Amino acid sequence: MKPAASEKKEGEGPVAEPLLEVVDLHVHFARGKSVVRAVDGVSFRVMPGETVGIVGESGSGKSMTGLAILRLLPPPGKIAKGSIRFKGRDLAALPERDMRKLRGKEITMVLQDPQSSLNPLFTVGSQVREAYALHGRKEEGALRDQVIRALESVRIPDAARRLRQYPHQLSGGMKQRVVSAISMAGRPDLLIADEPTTALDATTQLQYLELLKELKDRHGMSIIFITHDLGLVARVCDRVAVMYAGEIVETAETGKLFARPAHPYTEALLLSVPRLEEKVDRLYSIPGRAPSRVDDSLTGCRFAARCPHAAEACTREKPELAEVDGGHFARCRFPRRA
Amino acid sequence: MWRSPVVVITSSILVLIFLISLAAPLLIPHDPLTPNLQMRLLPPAWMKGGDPSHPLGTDHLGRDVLSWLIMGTRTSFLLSVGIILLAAVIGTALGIVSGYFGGAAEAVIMRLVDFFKAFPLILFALMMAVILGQGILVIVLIVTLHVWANYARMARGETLRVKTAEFVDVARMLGVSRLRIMWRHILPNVVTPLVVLATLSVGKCILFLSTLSFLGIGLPTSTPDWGIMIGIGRDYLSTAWWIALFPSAAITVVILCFNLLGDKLTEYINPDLRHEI
Repeated sequence: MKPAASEKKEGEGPVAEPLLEVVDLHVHFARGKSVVRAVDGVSFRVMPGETVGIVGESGSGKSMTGLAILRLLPPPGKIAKGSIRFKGRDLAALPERDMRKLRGKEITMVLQDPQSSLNPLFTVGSQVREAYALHGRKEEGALRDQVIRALESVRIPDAARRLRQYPHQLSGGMKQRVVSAISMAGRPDLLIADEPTTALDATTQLQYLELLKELKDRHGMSIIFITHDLGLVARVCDRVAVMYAGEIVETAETGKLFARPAHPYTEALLLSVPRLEEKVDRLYSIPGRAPSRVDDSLTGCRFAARCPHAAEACTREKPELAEVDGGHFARCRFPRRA
Repeated sequence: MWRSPVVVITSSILVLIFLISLAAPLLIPHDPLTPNLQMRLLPPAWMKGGDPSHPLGTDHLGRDVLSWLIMGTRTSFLLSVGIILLAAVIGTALGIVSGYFGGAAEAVIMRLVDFFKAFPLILFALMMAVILGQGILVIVLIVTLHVWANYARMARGETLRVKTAEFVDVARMLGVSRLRIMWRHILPNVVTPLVVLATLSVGKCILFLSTLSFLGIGLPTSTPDWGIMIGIGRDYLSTAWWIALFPSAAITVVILCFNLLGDKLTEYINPDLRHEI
């Protein structure tokens, strides 16, 4: 079994190796002559045992980043540039055959819609069994026992009976837990969760997050948590990267990001979240729309058009990600320091 | 599904005919192909001049109509089912492959579909018969080539629908091989409308075979086929009507059963009902 994350850190020297390092990732969708640049130069790293959140609105490129790591981009999507270093190998350059061996075993993904994540024609048990037959370990006992233990580990009551049930007999929350059990089959080092709770109601969401935390602690797994929901990020993630228009505009430890956001976009996002104690007549929303990613002619900061603090310099030259504080980076000429 | 009287009755009849076709050589009272000129043109046994040893009468060569009918189940029923199964398997496989992979595979397969669908059956059959001659294999080839394209088209359409479902993504995420994805995830989810198409097609196939043998294409006239018997009976329609009537009735019953069954099955395609079967 893998050592828990804390044990790992004790044993290692002062500089630990990142589990995943994405460097200058570009994902392009070619449509005839024009190219949609869904991910436009994204770099980040994930340490072992760490939960990294990627936050952004729809179309920011966060899902595509997750899919690119597993090389599951929908056609005509392609990784146009960049490297994805995972345990010493560049996934962007790996042949498909080797990629297939990795999938489900070392890196897995939990997808958004639990309703259609399970094949309606097969029992829950047979689908979990398929995953364990592929990725489980023989020394852990009979397949059926492994499957039952898997369902129990995701807190599905009465697991033996559930084995014989069909997906439509399960609630959305339970389906999502079954999918989690399936993705855990290979004891992955990295789990990419793409909006895993979007389709769940609030109570179920929290239960699911608890489950995710438990699984993470038990297996010493790293998680990339992709979402648009800042509230979830605050609960679950160690570090956060904020994406806008295909780029990362800010990245920091969760606490620092929420307490002192540096990028105006992050600041605006936090302002948009209504607080229970406040009484407001009008909800704050960021004016304007995110730029289309086909437009090559855009110079300067991509958020400038909507930024309340934009200066002339902002539209001329595009800012790079710069450190504003220890481990806190922002892509802004005039970072906010609240 | 089994509570419907239509389904029970039609499938019972079809199973019965299937069993008859398997046991045919053991069931026939006479050899359907041996002429017996002394007993020619006998009416059915219950009519004046009929003979109980030939319950449904004889043809112009004295061959027993009942025996011909029984032996005919092999070509008209068994062969038809076999051809449709073959066409369905080939068509479904190619349809799923073209739908799942897209690109060049899809383009090639769909052009083949267009090509084969362009020919009307008779024209196509005549061409093939001229090139390849007579025989059962020729008939099988002709009809299969004519029919497979429908399954391919339908299978492709259904595959396009299913392959966007998230459980396919989950399977890919787990690293399941593409072949296994097509076999285990795509195929079972596309198969239902194809089964219905198949039941409805068997009736058409029986008619195809009868038409072709009626025209003298494919099956040699010495094969005991229902279509051939109808062809013979055509010359005696006003005098020895039984020669044409009984095989026609047999064809009608089989086609009716398949069509009613297929029709009833369409009601069960609705996925909301599927799990209650």
